[in-house]
Amino acid sequence: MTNRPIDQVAFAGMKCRQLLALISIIASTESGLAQTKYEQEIRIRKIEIPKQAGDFVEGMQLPRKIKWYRETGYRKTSFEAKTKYKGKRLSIEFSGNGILEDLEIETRIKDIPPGAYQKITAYLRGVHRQYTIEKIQMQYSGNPNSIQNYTQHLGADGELVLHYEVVVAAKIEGSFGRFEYLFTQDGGYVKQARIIQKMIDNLVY
Amino acid sequence: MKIRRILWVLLVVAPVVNYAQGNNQIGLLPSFNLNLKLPDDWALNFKLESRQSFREGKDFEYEYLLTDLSLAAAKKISAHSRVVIGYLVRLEDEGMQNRTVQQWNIVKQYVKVNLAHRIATDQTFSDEEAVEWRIRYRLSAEIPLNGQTLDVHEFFIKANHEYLNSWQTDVYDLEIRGVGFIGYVTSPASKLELGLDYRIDSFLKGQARNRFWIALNVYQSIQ
Repeated sequence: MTNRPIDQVAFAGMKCRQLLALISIIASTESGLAQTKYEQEIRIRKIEIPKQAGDFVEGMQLPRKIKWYRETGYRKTSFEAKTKYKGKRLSIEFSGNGILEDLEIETRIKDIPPGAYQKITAYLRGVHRQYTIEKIQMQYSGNPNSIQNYTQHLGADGELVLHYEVVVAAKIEGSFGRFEYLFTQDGGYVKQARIIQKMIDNLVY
Repeated sequence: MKIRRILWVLLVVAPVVNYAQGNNQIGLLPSFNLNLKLPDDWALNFKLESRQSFREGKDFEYEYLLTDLSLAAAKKISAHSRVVIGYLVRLEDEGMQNRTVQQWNIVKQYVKVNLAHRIATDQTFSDEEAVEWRIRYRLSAEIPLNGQTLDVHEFFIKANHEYLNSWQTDVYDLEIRGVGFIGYVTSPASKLELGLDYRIDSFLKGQARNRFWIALNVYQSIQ
């Protein structure tokens, strides 16, 4: 049996460490995907969307122009119709095959019931020492007919499920970032995702 | 529409009118920008920029002017703002200049536009001249050409408008810059920009100097 020179052994050890490091990076990235949000959005024409989605939005009889987008995330592709309704930004999201996922309406803090808002802020205070709420959206899901009726009659029936999607700028674990939270109608925490910041070097330097 | 009109006046009408008045310089201004992200919201930025002139006054003649090398350290102080300190070395045929830079900027994403404000001060030192002190403000707007957010493999337009106040041995001057770029996001960590960088100075006392730079910027970020 021949003895391997020390530098060969060291090289093999180094390669092994590099491989382990690579595996751990991939593993940590994969587990991190569940807590991060990255979306690529492309404006598309109406003929590019699933017929089911187009028909649904047409049935909503929204008065203003509808803009369609294809959103590609880490794990899924979806379609989104965006418009303005009674002065508020509104978006209707569909899965890749045109099934309604939810309706989101941008809203203001004062439109959230005080009890739910207090619960939301109490939760955020517990997670972040300092935070700023940047955007709140009411997210409606449930029976598609109820969602169509909601925009036509400005009222919610019992078959609508309401969540609040809250975008927050805050510091967590020593670094600043933006986070998207989802809370129930009563202000109960559902989930959180860190929003991946896109490259802005050309605006800084 | 209003923003488009303002950009049109700043980036097209004003440079054309000033160009017709003479004392112009036209050249190239390529730059390479490498940004290294570090833990705890720190980042290092290395920039290499060169200037070449191919027309001064009425004469067409290629001339290498200078190269700037700079290194800056940036620290995020909130989700949208950061402070930066940097050091720049300017290499010219006549000699070398050194510059220290301090800046604060804020970048905010709105629907369809990213807006950035930058307030900076710098001090330029050289053997031949007195120290030049400057304070400057820059407003930048980046608008994606497809969709509401700027994504990979997407074109964008960018416009900068900047005011630079400078003092050198009690002599004050104001320089105004207007920049228009067409850009492309080549990957999540890199961008390309091509456009016109227009600068006017010395107009407060005497004839204005107009400089038109065709700029090509490459930005590369390393996580």
